[in-house]
Amino acid sequence: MTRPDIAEIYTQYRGKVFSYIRARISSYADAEDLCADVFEKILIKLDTYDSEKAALSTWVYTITRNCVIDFFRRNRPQDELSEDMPSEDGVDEDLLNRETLSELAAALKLLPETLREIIVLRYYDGKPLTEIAKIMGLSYGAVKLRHNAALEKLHQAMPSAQR
Amino acid sequence: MEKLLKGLFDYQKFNPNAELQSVIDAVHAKTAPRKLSLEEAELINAAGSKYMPDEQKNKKEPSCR
Repeated sequence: MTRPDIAEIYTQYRGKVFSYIRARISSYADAEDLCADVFEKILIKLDTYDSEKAALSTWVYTITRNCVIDFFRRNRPQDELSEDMPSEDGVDEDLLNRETLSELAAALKLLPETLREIIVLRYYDGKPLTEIAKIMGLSYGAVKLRHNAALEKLHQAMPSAQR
Repeated sequence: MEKLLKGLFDYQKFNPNAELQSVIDAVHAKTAPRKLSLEEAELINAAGSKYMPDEQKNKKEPSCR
């Protein structure tokens, strides 16, 4: 097993790590500090990385996400985590890959347009159902029903969801 | 299912998949607030501000006496 080189990881992922952090943290200085923390963690944990368990991009992503969650816990313990922020005990790392994202894209395309819109607004944009109802000009009850129907259809259409 | 969707969409923000991004972009194009046309913007301008400037507020109406 060949260990990836920290300089290569930095060159390859610095932009992605910083963009991900910056999308969630408004202060540029805090985002830069956190980005440095992420690469420090990567350096410390590099010996534990196992390419057979996870792709490098997934491993770097998981460290970045956990650093962002820690940042919010440390600095704003009174605030709820943002709606679109996954929990630390999130998805199995082996599901976080391009193939599962393509599977999700294909499953979304099978949905009627309204259901697809609800899923993207809810889980990509992190909007609450009440706000989605306003955007779509529907009642909250109608959006809630459609949301449940969309989840059911996606569950059936995605093999990864049945694992 | 909700946990899976949150996780996948979050990973999409870190490592975008072009196919999924095109689905997301199409939804955003449809649901984003519509920009006002020039004509609509002019109508709003013509209506003016709903707030009255202080000097006008303090001006007393001429008495009928």
